[in-house]
Amino acid sequence: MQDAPTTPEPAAGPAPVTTRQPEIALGLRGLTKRFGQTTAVDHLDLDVPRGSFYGLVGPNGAGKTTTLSMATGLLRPDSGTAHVLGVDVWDDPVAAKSQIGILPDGLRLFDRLTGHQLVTYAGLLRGMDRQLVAERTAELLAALGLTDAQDKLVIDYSAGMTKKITLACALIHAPRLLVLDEPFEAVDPVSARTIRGILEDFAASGGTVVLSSHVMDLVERICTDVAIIAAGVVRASGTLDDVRAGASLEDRFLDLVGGSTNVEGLAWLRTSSD
Amino acid sequence: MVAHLVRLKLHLLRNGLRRSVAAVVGMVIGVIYGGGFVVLALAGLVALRAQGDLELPGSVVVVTGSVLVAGWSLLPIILFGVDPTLDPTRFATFAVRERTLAVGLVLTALVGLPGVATILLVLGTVVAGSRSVAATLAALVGGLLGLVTCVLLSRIVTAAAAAVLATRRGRDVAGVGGLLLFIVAGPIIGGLSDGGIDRATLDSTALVLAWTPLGWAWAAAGDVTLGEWSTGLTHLALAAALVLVLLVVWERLLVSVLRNPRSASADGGKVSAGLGLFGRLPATPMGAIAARAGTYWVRDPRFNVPAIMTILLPAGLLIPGLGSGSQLALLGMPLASAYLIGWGQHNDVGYDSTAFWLHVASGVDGVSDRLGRLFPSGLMAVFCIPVYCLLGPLFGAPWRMLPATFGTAVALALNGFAVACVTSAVKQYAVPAPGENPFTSRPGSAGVTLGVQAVCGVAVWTLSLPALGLAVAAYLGVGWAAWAALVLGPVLGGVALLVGTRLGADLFRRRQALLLQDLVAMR
Repeated sequence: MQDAPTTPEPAAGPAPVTTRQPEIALGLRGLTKRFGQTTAVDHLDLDVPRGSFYGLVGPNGAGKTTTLSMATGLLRPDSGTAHVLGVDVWDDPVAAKSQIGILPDGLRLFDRLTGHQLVTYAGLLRGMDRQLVAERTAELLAALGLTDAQDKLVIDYSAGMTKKITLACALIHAPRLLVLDEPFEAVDPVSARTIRGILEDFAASGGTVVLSSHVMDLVERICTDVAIIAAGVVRASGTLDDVRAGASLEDRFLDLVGGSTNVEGLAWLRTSSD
Repeated sequence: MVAHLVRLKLHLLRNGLRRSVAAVVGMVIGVIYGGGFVVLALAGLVALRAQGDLELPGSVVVVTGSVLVAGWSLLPIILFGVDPTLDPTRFATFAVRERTLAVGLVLTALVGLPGVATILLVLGTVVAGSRSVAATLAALVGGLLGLVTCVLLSRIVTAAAAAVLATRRGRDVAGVGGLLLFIVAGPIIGGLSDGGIDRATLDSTALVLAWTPLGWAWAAAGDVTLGEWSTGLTHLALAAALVLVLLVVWERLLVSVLRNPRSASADGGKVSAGLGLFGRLPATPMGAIAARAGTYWVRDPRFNVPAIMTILLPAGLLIPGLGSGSQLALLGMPLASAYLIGWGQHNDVGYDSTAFWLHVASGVDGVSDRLGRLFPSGLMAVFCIPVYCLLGPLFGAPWRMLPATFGTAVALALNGFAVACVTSAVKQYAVPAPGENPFTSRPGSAGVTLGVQAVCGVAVWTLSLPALGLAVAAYLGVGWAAWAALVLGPVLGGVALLVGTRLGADLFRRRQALLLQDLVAMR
């Protein structure tokens, strides 16, 4: 899998930055969301520097998906603000959303469309013209290795292919901020490498990537910055080295999040015990 | 080996009953309901033997037998998924001789309620046909051949259907096919039970059926009774040949299933290349949403099944319209059609399910979203309303009402769309998820569903009151009212749609995230 030659430069990477941009790509202040009695996200503050490759890690139910949904305009927060490149997501959603590409987790796609149709649909919904959509769709499908499957219905795609087609939908309008919820879940190593290559190119050309993941090793390998979230609150954030503070990310994560890691009992599982 | 298979089927039946009370209750109801029917039919067949008419038993047996054969071959498709036990592919991993398996699976099909009922009915036909020794013999041989035909056909159909249904596209098609069959079967059954069948119809039907594969086996006894030996023997020979052919087909099918267990699902449905509607409609957000909606209406059984029903249902008013000459029924057709089309649009966002996030994430403007969704329904209205408007006068409704019905129908459709524009931005109720059976209902959502539906219905009719009033006046003889309805209906409908779109677009802009949260919650 070679990354660089297959990556569609004009489609995936934003145009070279000429005007001055704010230094914070995504700024969250006091973001709060309650579902009934439970508080999923509790006055969460986070700053994602522009051009960073930002990893959001946390245990299941920590509020990662809720946070990302509120940051991208998919879920209205109870209180707090989210700014994308200086634009308030909830005051001027249309302007903010034009800068964001989203790969949500656990939401359906219009999967009775073919892959080709779905990406075209995403482009046309953004108000792009037909010619541009056609060019970028072809490039994206080629870069993601989906050209052979472009006329199959998305419902017939494998999990990895579905992630890739969603990524294509997120990239079609050349966003400046990519927000990806579990982009590598259920993705095979080959597809993962393809996705990673595209994301790294995107970040290298000035774009910002925010992703959530359970896989510490992966975050440690590809992210420049990380935030550890637990119970709806940021426990630590900053550059990868700051957060790690000399230890491995996994150890720091377990320190901060807590929870016992000693396995007690289950003696019968040890094969020598009988 | 064959005995093994039969015993396996018995075990499966018993364990199925042991697993849940519901299964036992279902079985008991099946025995009472089906059993009652079988007892009645048996009594009828035996009574046929007792009466004097020599021709009647033959006709009845042929029709009954043909229905049996048709039932065995069609019911597995319509009620597919009811009984997948002893699916041939499950034996692919066992070393069983294919011939043995073929015979065994056919015999096991007779174990169970339908099998027992059929055997009893076949015995009944033998009794009905037992006028002489020769006739009894013919009835026995014919009955046996018929029985085997039933089972073989059902086995072949299920195996073939399983192969087709293994692909998702196949399932979609079968769903629609089954529905169409129901729609077609309804009037036939209704017609039969309505007027009853007179003797001539019965005899001629039997005569035709006797020369179709459905009736060959059952016709022999009647022929022999009437002394037509050569015809009877021909029928038996044809029936025997049919059984042989079916046996060969069944064995071939079984062999192919056993040797390539996965062959059926390998072809993972490539749809025609290209962009389809996306290439043809304008390259704007509204055009794209229209193209998406149109594509779904064709591809998704949650849309195309109701769409077919919406198109065909108003035609049902032709029955009272022609049968009892009801002018109101004929005039009501376009109104019913327009109402169903317009009102049917009110929960459109609900059908998107959580895929709606793409619209939210893209920052689509409300007007595009509202109007784009109306495209398939609008197209349907453009075709259906004029057709139904013209059908009425063509079948006897007064032509002078045409402007009134057309104007009112257009008003109903436009008002329906206007209401849908608003409601589908406010409150949506749970519908079958994509890929689910279009007829499943979501537990616990009945209240919201009925509430939203009722509110939408009342709103549509209320908005249409001016046009409806004029139409009523026209019907009562006020000459100018028909033309007033023709003008006023579409104009007021247009205004309503304009207001509805503006209001809906505004609500959509403010509420889209809440709508998505709602859709996520009802997943």
